Amino acid sequence: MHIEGKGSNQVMITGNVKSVDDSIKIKETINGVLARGNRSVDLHLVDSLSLTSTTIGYLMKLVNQDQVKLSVTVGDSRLYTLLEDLALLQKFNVRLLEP
Amino acid sequence: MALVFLEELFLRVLVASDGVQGLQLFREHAPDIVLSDHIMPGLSGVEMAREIRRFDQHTSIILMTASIDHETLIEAINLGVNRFIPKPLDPTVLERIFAELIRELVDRRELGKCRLQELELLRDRDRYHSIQQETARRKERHVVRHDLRDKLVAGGKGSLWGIKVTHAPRDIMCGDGYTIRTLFDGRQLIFLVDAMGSGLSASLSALLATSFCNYQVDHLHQWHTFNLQLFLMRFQEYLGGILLDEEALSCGFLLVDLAGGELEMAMFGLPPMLVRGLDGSVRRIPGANPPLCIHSAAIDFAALSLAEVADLMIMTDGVTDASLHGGGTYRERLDRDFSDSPTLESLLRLFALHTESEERDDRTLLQLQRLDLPAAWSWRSADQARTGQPAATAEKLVQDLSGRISLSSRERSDLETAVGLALAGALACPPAAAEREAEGFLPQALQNTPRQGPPPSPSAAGSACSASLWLGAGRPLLTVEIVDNGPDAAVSWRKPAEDRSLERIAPLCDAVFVGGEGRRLLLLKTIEGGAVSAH
Repeated sequence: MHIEGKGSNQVMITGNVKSVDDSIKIKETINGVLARGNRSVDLHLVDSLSLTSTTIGYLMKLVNQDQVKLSVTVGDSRLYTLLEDLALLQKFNVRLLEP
Repeated sequence: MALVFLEELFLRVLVASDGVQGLQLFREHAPDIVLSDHIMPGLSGVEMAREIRRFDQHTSIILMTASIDHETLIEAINLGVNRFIPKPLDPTVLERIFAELIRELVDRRELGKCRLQELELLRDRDRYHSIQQETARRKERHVVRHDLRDKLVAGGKGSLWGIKVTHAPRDIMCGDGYTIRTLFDGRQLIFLVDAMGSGLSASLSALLATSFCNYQVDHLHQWHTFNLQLFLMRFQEYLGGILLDEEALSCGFLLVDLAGGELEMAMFGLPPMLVRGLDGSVRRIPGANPPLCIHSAAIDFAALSLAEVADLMIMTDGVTDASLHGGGTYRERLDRDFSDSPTLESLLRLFALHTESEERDDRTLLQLQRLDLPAAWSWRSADQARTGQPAATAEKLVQDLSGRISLSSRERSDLETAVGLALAGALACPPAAAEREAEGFLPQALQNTPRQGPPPSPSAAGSACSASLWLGAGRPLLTVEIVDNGPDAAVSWRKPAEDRSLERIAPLCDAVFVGGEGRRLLLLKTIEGGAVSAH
């Protein structure tokens, strides 16, 4: 997995999000975005087909507790289905990037 | 002079007059340092060193020599001679070399002691962790409950139901948990949890959540009526106190009313429930709620009529997220495999076939299954008295079934053995006789060996064996039912774990259910016809 911040609040992730290390990197990068005073995060998961449960728990905390406005753009329909199964489409403002 | 010098330096000095005696003294006394001339009668210093090194690699050897040729020197070095001292001896040189070797020797001994201590420490830690893990495993098993394990449950309008669960933790403490409890009003409460995250924290959350449900159910007599909404309100309050900020809990609650043929549920971030109708149609029912966390919102509940349901399955994401051979996740083929598999066991066989075993996570699957399914083919032992001949009855059943459907040789053998054992269990009274009967039970043995133990009891003459085939799923499901109808029937099947004959039958079938106070036995088996192994 490769992660980089773009613009003021965009976080771009390529590769599959799978390991504990991936979860830590995502959390650190998003925390960096928020530390700059942003109250919204635009997360792009370019080709990941999964998301670790630790990351899901962290994103839920951002939305529910910290009132961060999150939007997630996914490039793989399998990840979209996963988030749909978890009933998180609305909460995370998930959008599937059309191929 | 050298001897006087050495005796001042060392506790004990042994002196040999030649190499042969030197070797003998070495074998007898195992000294710490060997100081030897090279040129000696019998064995030279290098030859003695060679003999010593055959069984000892560590003792320091010092070779004294006035002259030594190049080849011998190389050989001595290769043998591990530690030092060379020129002759005539210089006491200062000798003292320096001894000091070096003694320091090396002391260091080596200290190192050895440290290694032993470390090894002992590791062993202690290993023992400690083993005890901890075993205790944790026992605790986990203690908390997970299944009131209806292997039990036939009567539903409304003569329906029959059973609940099977498979719980496969990746580690000793896992993030999955479940409990299946019968409530005071006859309904069942099913709880399945997958604490998101990993490690001990997730495991603790799963255990605490499951324990909460058990505790509430155990004290339900204090409730006037059981109300799922109220139950969940209390559950959310409880979670608020135990979950961490970033922790989320995927879980599902099913309140099953088999008598009324209804199910009420609340699902939180679990993979969609799979429901198969009596006609074989499959539908997915996604959970309406995201995973639970300390800031969860209002809960959506859903209801499902069980009138036309053949079975339904819920599971944790260890199933759906398992990696497929060749990429992707099992979510992509779960619906197809579920559609093919009438039992939990048959689905698990396909799961094992299609997923990477080394990457599997904790997984729990739970199936609520109707057991009185519409039969596409049915069979009944023509003469009830035939059940007095287990092998013949089992053989006839398999023979008649083969006329209807293709069976692999393994399936034939397993079926004959399972049905034979079950019928023998029905005939044996008291149960101890069933155990004798079951010893070394094989179809051939059933046919050729005269029945031992007491003659069939009057109840055995009243035993009935029947079978039916359901074709609603992709693969046929065979159900064999053995009922002890005798008026004074004494046979009583217990759960497979508690009943030796059922313990032998269970691995030959997909599922075993016992009902009617132990007088009714149902064996379920998916007929693969070699389909799985052919993949």
